[in-house]
Amino acid sequence: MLMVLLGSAGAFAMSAPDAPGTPELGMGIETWKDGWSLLVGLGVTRTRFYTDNQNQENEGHGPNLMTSVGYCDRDAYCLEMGSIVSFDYYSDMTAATTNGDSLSLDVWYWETALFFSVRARLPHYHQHRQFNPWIKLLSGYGASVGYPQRWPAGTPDSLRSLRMQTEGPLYGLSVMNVFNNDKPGRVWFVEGTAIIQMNWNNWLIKGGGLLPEVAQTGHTSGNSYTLLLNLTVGVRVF
Amino acid sequence: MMAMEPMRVRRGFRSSAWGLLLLASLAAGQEERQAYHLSIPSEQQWDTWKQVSLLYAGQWSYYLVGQNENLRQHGSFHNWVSNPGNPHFDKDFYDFNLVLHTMTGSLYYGYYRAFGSSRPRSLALSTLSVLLFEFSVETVTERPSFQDIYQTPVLGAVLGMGLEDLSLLCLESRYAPVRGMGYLLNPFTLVPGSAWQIKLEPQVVSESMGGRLVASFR
Repeated sequence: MLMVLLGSAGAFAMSAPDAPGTPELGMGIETWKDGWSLLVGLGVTRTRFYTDNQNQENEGHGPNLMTSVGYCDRDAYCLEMGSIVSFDYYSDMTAATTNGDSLSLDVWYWETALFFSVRARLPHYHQHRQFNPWIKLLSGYGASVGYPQRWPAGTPDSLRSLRMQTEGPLYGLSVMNVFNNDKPGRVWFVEGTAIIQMNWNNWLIKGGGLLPEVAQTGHTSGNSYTLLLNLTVGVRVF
Repeated sequence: MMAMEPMRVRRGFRSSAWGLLLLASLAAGQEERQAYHLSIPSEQQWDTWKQVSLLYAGQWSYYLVGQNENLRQHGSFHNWVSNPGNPHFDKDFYDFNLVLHTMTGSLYYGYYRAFGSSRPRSLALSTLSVLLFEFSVETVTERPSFQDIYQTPVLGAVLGMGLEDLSLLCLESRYAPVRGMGYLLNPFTLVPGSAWQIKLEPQVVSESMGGRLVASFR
């Protein structure tokens, strides 16, 4: 649906947005400018999950949605708050049960990264036509919620209704190229973001009630983490 | 269905044609892209606070009526006082966090747009409303949620803008059901006194007559 919505952005191609009494551009701007900005993009994510003792590595992949709100100044830097939400599919993850058994599961992970970031034009580089690179440093907190699929036969319903949530701080770096930065045309961008998310706390959550119910709480030794590589294509909405 | 080519030729029409024009206009589309104009009429801050307060009253009404069961099971004065200082990453299901909150955020965004606010301003005011809800309404039952604080206004604004654009696209259609969909996608176009003005503009072009809907944003 969002694709459709983003696609509709091209519907009202008019100029001179923002000034009172002048037409607005449909979901987008035509030249990069200082001030408040909202970036929105869709893309793909590739992840790698490492367990506490580093014994297990699992790879996941799926689509992502990136948003970023911030203030840009001097045509040089932006201070932003942002999020990347991805849905990643992991095959054959090993999960231990409380009675010592282990299960092999496929898991859909809904991964949310919220962060503060500083975005800056690549230092010492002059814009050249369509090559307008920016870099971004980010730091924040993330949550990964796992929905196990393909339970083995005989798994009790009480277990099937559980979902796993892990949380921890995250750090990342992104490289972005802005297109139509210096000539008329809708401003759009391609961004690659690498994030390392620490998995410090975990919960087993029981759904179905009015509010989610925590069935189990745990902490890792701090060594478990997830690497997320995101490639996103988007537009500057305003 | 009348084929419309607005703005090309205008001729005088007879008064008896008005009825036909009005009927035909319901089925007639708009052939050229319409600018929807933005002019914030030097809005006084008092007006903004009235808008925020009205929505805040709506949020309380919704919570007291719509979350009755939740309030009975989990609500307390102690929560209301202690929870604001204890925000966290919530443990909600994704349909709640990503779908319902985004839809709610788009309503907040549309609400402020209907008062004539610009897009950034609508996003800012939506954020204020979300903060008020998270820190002073929902705290009766839950701790404030970081995901909700960010995603409700931001994803809501993105959805709201998309619906706005899609709605205007539908309102241009010559097909009545599609135009109906346009009103559905942005119901604020139907609110009397809203910044969205959908006007009927009768037209006679060449040998046909009819009308078109013109969407504008004051």
